[in-house]
Amino acid sequence: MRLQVTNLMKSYKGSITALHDVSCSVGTGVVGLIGPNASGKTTFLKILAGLEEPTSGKVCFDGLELMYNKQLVRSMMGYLPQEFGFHRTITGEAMLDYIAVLKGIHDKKMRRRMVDEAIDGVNLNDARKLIIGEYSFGMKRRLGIAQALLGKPRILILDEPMEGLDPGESSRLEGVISEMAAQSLIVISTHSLNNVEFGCSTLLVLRQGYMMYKGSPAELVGLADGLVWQVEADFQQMEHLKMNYKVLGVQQTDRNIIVRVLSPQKPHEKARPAKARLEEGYLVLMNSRAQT
Amino acid sequence: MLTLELADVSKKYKVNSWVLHNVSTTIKSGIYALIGPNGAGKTTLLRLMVGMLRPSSGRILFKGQDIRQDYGLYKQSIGYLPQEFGFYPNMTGRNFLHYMARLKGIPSSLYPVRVEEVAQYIGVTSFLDKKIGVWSVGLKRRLGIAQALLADPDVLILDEPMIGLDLEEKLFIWNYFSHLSRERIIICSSNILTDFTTFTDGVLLLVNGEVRFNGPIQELTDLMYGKVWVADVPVESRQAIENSWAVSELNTVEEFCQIRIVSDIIPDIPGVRLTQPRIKDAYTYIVRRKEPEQKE
Repeated sequence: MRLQVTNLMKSYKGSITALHDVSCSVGTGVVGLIGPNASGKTTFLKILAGLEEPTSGKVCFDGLELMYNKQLVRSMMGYLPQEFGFHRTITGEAMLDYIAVLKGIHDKKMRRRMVDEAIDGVNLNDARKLIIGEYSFGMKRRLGIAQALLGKPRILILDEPMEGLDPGESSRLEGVISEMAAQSLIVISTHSLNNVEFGCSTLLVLRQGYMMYKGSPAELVGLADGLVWQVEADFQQMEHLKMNYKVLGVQQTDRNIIVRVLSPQKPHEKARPAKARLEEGYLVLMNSRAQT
Repeated sequence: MLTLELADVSKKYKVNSWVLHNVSTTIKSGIYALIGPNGAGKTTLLRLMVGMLRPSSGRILFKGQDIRQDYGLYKQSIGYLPQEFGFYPNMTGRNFLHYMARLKGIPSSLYPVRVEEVAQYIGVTSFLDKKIGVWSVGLKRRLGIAQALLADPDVLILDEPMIGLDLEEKLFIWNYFSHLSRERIIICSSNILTDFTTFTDGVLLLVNGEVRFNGPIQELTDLMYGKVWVADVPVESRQAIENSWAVSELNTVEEFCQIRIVSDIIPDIPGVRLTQPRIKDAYTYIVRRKEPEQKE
């Protein structure tokens, strides 16, 4: 499965432009979509899901243009919106069965199998027979993910799927996603970059509607190579570092304070170079382009 | 150095159903992350610390004194951000903060200045005169943090403060918290393990209503030396491995699974080798270490 986005533009009334000339081409695997709040991530995903029309430009899945093949493309697609509305009075299991019917699965046995698989994928077995009104926030999130996973679609679009999941649940979902990644194209938006490190082949970074970065996570980390330092400091030195550098971390123990900073030069004689993390590569990207 | 001490605290909402069970632990000045599976009792623990809930048994001591002894006084030293915060959409940010300041009993001669200060610390100054209805999710979360800071509390208790914030917003807030944390206790619950690693001084790990770890983050990963294993296994054998070992990460690459296992003994899997521990490994290890106990 290949997704091709060409010169995508989206503006709303009142001349707000949500996306400016966004192009990318990605194949089967996990694509992480990251960027600050209000950078256009959700708009981009809604357009991919066929729920919003672009102002100009086009979206193709395996050469099929989305605008003219919506029915067909959407039959291959699972989508998790940021906010998912539920009927409170039906059980989780019944809701999934209903959605499977909407997806055109009329064979009862097959539906049953799909529902089981999806429930298992998000570890909701204990709650499948409870009515949704009794679900916790995290359980509802997982049910939302389950409906997107139904039938292991070849295109999977997830808007902030990890929000509200605990670390064990996210870990489990990461496993399911990486298993599907061999056959499917999966686009995931997220705020917590650690969630995209796993088996994520491509990262796309949006900022104010512009595509700032397309590439591997390793290359993004590489942007911060040699720029991250750790200093074992006392209180005064810490204050000094905070005033002069971008501080990435402060950890106080009984004995000392470890300050992590971003700097092109060695920020302090006691500074030692530290291995950059994905978040830091991202910050370098955001800051470098922000100035131009 | 401030201390907040839980002495044998238990909480149940229903008969025979313990949410927290004999929790004894001490929190000192600094930034703490409260982590644990959903349903472990994190929100209940925070509400008990705030004093909104009373423990079914046990005591909570601030600076050595039971918080119930003079709750009015204790309340003044607490700033709290609940998980869900309701705002009036037609109020401006400034009006909201003024209103909260009045509720907290801050004298009217002081609060307009304090509101300006807090708004600046949290980075919402330029939005203050806009109606909250048009604020983004991230901005509203920051406004929630701002109101918790109004009375300059000694103890800040924040239930998932970073949810909905993007990375730069988080970094901004963490920097400010680290500035505050020298003489204050800051407790943030979180679901994202790597969110806080560079800014937290301590981790509280709550599982099934018990505190299973309270200590520096470094100690948490140090626990795991010699206990984290990796192996590449065929996809077919994944299920069997997941059933018999505690898996902290699973990554499918074509027909192989890269699998991370936490275990005291070497797993009997061909090609298995030791690897550097990460915080996620420690989390998995501690959460899975004991099976849920039968509660009375």
